Amino acid sequence: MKKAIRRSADATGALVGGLLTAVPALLGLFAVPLLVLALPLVPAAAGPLRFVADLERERVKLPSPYRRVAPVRDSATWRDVAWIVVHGVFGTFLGVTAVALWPAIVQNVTLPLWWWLLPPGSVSAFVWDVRTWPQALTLPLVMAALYGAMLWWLIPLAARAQAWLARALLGPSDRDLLAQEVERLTETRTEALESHGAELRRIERDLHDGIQAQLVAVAVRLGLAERALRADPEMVRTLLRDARTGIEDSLGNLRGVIRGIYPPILADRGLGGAVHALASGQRVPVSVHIQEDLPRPPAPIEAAAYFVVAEGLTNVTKHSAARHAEVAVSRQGQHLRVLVRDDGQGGADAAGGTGLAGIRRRVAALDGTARIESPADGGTTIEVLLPCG
Amino acid sequence: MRIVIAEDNALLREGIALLTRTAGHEIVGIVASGPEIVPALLEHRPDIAVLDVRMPPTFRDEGLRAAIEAREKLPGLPILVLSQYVEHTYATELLASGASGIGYLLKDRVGRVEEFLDALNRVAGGGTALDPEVVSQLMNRRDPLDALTAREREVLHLMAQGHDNAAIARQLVVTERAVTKHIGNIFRKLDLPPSDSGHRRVLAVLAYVNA
Repeated sequence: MKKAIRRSADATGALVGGLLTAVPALLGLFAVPLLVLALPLVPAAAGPLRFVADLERERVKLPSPYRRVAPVRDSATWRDVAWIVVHGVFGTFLGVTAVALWPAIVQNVTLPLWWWLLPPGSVSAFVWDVRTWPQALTLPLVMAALYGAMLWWLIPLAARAQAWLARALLGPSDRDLLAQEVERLTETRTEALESHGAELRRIERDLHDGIQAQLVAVAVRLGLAERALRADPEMVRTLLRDARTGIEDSLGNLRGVIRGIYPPILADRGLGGAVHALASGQRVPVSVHIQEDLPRPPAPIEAAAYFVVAEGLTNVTKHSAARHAEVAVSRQGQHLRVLVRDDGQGGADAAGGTGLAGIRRRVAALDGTARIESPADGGTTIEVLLPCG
Repeated sequence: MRIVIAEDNALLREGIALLTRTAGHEIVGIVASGPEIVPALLEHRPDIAVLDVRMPPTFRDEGLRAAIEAREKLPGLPILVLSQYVEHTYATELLASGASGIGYLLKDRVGRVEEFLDALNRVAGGGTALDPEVVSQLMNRRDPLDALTAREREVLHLMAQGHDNAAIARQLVVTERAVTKHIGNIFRKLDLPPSDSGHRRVLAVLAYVNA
């Protein structure tokens, strides 16, 4: 009994809550024909409709179904219209009914106690006037039982129906979800392609402006040395020395470029070994947690993860004044999760710092996400998720 | 000296062979893959082995592993490891087998013939030759050596590479006495155990930067 009352009360609460949107929906109902006509021409007309629908979504905790297309082409708009009609009419009716049933029961149960106080003919139980004691002792109780039955059975059902209606019409359909996912993927793929292109251009520039130019300079010196071989042996010595220095410099640059593309230690030791090597090369003590059965990620993902850890730890050493740092690498569903955290002073500018911008760029190029938190009151956390397919 | 070379790249293999033969050394064995290294060393018992890190079959760090294995089987065998890139962790692993007779250099250094041959001799003689880049990586891990003057840091760096006082004096263009004085100051400031000159000092410095 207590449970049944509780259930009916909850359902009543839900339906009364529904009034919050049902009343605006009822008022808006009259604008629906106008809306349907205006929508193809004025996309903004969907604004008030979506506002009311969003109120309901917030109330029943549903995600937004809207896609980034003109409202008139978005099926969610038309389901909103259907919802506003149904909810405006039934929601209002159900809310008012549910809230009225409770006092009606009290009124009918107590009616035998006071009906005789009022002038004859002014008291009724449903359709019959109560004029005699037998009537007063039976009719209201029948009414109360009827109302009680409605509260017990119909109202919870109505509340469930209303919730179902909201889910069916206001929630994103499978198609919406799929379309949203396609839109998100298209967008991130475009970003990834752009970032990837930027990476390629950076590598090309490093090779072209750096190493290629250095080798040309070396070739020039060797050519000059060949010409000067007889005439000026001392000059030849200088030229040869410069040529060798030039080659050494370009070898050094080449190592830098290779490290930027795919650090050799990854090939030697895998991500775990490489991260341990990075951590042990820092001045700040770094604890490393590598998931034990970590499946080997694809090479680009591995390289990006390494880059994130390397940049993150460089920042820790250079800027954070941290006493301790932590690196964690694990598999999270379809993603490789890389975490670099320190207990330093925080306040790193995620937008400004070149290192952090590099992390974002590199992660974005692989359709990953980077979360960088560095509150002014201390500590910096870099969390990166890279898709592993 | 009798040398065994392990290098899979034919160009580099020939280059190193040419260089060492020109310097009057004898190549007693040449291998081109990881699994061949230790048997070749056991067979030839060379005065020094020159090993590449990355070799067939897996092209990872078989040269390094072979070096460590060879040092277990032939304690004190001088080994010079050459690599396209250097990693301080690899240096640490090599030095764990004892810092005497260990070299770890970038392949680039082969181009500086005199220095390379000097390193080869040093390692064969039980000394140490660490690439300046490795030393930088190792020293980066230490707290900034603020107590040291710039010159003292230079001296420390060269000591960690395995150079003796005379070589340090030559490279810094100072007298050996000045170097001795700097080294005394370094040992005092870093609280290193005092030791007589020579390789034991180098070992103390290596133990310090590799801590």
